[in-house]
Amino acid sequence: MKNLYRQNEPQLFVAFVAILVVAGAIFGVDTLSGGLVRGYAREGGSALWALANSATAFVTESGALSGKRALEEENKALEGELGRRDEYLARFEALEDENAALREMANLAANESGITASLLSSLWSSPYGTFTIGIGADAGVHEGDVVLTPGGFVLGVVTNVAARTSLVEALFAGGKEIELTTSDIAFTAEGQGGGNARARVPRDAAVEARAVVLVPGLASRPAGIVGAVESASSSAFTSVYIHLPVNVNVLRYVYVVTP
Amino acid sequence: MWSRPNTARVLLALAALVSVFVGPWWATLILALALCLRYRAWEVIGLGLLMDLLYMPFPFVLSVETLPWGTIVALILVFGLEPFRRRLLTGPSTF
Repeated sequence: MKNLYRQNEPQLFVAFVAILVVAGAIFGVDTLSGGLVRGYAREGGSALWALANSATAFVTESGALSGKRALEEENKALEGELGRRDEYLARFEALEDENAALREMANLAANESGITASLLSSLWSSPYGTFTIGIGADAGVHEGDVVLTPGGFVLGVVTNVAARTSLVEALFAGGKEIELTTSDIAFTAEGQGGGNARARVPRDAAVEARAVVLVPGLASRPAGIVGAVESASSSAFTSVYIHLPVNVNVLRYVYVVTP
Repeated sequence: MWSRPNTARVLLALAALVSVFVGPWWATLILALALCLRYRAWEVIGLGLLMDLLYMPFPFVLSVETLPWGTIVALILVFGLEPFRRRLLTGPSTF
């Protein structure tokens, strides 16, 4: 038995080295070609994602799983509708603020062109806080384009473009630091994934729940709303919890702002 | 020596593959862990590589912030768990 272990260990080491070489070669070719390998992988994956999305839509919309499951789906749909209404309300408040700012800065252009894109992969599938959308370079998408929810909140930024798909990194990806402002208070928030972020602001900063949070780095577009503000009496800071006013896991379409 | 893969292994690997595309990332991790605990599951490395190619938002360079974590975790699962798997769970395997 011991001899068998000893015989296996050199083979394992050789396999380990071989795998490192192959993986390194794949990533090397991808890096040198500007993301070509990843682009092909996502193009191939888009067919599977489209199939999975169609199957999900068929099952949920055909009533194949009726009874308790149907009620759960209806409940989810109603919750989604409530979320969308919250989002539009928050967007309305953001637009009012934006309108006031525009009156002061008449040279700031408000109109922006863009394309509606279907969401291929879910945000929760990626450990990197990314998701794939069903349009790419063929439709005029470029790296750095901003991706918005249907209500106009920033969902993320395009980081990699293939011919017919693009990879988007979520603004609130886990561990990502973002500069935000609300009520003229600037602060740095840390993404928590799933459309949530957390920040610490000085205790005397007047941050209120339901305030709209803007991203100054992305033309001061709205990025979320303050969900809760917590402050311990012993701390000099207040914890601010920010979230997108829409459930990112039920989104089917997004809007890509193109230059 | 190559031997015929059993049904449980094929099903686990297929579930992990589907999970890469439509499941939460932690489900893929659990399935990969299950595969590596029971088998010398080379396919897990392919799954980690696929996950990186599908979702990694940056080009690979040698920096902590831009490492392909899917592939690295897969390598750790396959090779790191191998001694544990052989000695405690299943005995030696060449497959």
